[in-house]
Amino acid sequence: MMRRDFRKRFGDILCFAGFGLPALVIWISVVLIPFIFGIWITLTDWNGLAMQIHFVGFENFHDVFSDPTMGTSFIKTVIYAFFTVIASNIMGILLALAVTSGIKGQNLFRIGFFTPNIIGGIILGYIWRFIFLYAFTAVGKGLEIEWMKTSWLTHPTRALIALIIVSSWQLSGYLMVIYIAGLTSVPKDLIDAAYADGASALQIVSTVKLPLIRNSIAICIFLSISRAFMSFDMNLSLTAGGPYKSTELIAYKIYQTAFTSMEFGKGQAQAIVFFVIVAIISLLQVYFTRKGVDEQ
Amino acid sequence: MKKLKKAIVFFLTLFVLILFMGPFLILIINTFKPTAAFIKTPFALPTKFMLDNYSLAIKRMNFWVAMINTVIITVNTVLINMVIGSMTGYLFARKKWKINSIIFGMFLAFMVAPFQVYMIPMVQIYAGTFGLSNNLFLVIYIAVGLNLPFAVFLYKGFTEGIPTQLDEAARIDGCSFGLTYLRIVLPLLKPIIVTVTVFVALGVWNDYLMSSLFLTKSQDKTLAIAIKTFLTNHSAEYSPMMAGLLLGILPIIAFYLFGQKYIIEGVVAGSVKG
Repeated sequence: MMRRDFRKRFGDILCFAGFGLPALVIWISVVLIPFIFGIWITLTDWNGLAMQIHFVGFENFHDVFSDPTMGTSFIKTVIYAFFTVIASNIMGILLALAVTSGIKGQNLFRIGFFTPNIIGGIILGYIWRFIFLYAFTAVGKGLEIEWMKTSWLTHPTRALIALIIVSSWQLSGYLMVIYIAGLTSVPKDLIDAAYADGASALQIVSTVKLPLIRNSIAICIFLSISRAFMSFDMNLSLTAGGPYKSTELIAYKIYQTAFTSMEFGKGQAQAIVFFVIVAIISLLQVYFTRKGVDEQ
Repeated sequence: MKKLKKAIVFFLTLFVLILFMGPFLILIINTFKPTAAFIKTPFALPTKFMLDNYSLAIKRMNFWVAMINTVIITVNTVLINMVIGSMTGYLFARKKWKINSIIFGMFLAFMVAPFQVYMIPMVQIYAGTFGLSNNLFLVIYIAVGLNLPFAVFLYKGFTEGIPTQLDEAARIDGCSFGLTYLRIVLPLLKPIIVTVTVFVALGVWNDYLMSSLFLTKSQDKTLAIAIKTFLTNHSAEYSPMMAGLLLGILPIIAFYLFGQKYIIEGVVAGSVKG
């Protein structure tokens, strides 16, 4: 009996070693150790080069909260996220409604609108940089439109708007696919019944379709919030934080602090604060989307 | 009446699509024009079919080397991630040991953290202490690790949907735990493998931030890094730059045209579930 127990145990250990250990080892070395080491870095004045590393306590966190540029960066990110979430969700719903309305070539439209999402943010940002720098200004000069004559990317507010436009452009095709999935699960007979009762197309959208896809709406809103907060690649290639550091969103700001100013301790402290913000968004997301599921 | 409405919706959608594709269309036409012509008339069609911009872009970006590096990193990450992820997912789905649920819970908990939390310590540990900069294997290793929790999550969920009776039947036929995975479970995982593969592959292929922290030498750069370097270090070669951007897009577009159905599903399913 003892012997069989032992053999079973040994078999279980082998099983774990073979199937679980590789993943565990990789995860610990790539995720857990850097995370713990990162917390230690926030407590030091390390600049990446210095041989002497001093323990400074919570000074880096104090710096993060008393640094006005960090505050501006946070506010800019919130403004950017707010408008991006609204614009991309409205566009996403409209595109999904159009593409599921029974028109010809639905699938081709779907493929077309989704295209920006398979291309990396770095490339997309650069493409739009050329558009904003040369194509828009050419239109402005040709049609004598004052606010389009100079590039938007050289103007602080307009550069942020440019960032919002490009992000919404990319994200709306993505959200569209989620909304399509929601819309195709709306029972057909409900829509037919509403038609029979003499409802207009607009009424059907607002009183039948939209209420029935509120789960998709919740998913999409949170998805776009977290995507907007994590935005980095496009920020780097489209505006590079400029002009005059006016479009440095949080993720980009952390990168600058760490690898341009070489302030590792401070950069890591910013990253931890950023992590807390993102974690709160994710927890809210879990809370609200679960609640939505329960209600149905 | 209904037909007319449909026609209006169709043409409106088509109009929006053309606007949507505008940046790409402008990009394409200007890659065939000299830079001076692009600045003067960005909307004009090219007068002749010239490929000078492409040859210059290929040279400047070290395109073929960058392309091969990107393929090496993407393919290896996807394969290793698939093997390890599906094995662990199978283990977690079939053996409800305490240690398994603890590990799984930790995997999920840390999925919330953005990459920014890891980047500084990672550079310190891997580039600093171990001196592994400009090592493609390091980038593959990190990419596998960062994508593992998500993969394990999806594989575990999918494996739980496979009836355990199949495992038991195989066990009676003399299959061990490992053989059952290989012969019974793995072939059934095909749909979820496609989903995970698409998601991981696109993420790794398009990754700039993580790989740029470690790959700095010209012969080790990926496409995204090579494009970024070309566009920041050279000035006024606008048309060649646009040709470079287009070259960076073409491989993915080719893939997209082949498997658009799986790609759209994979990208969206991946992030909604995750």
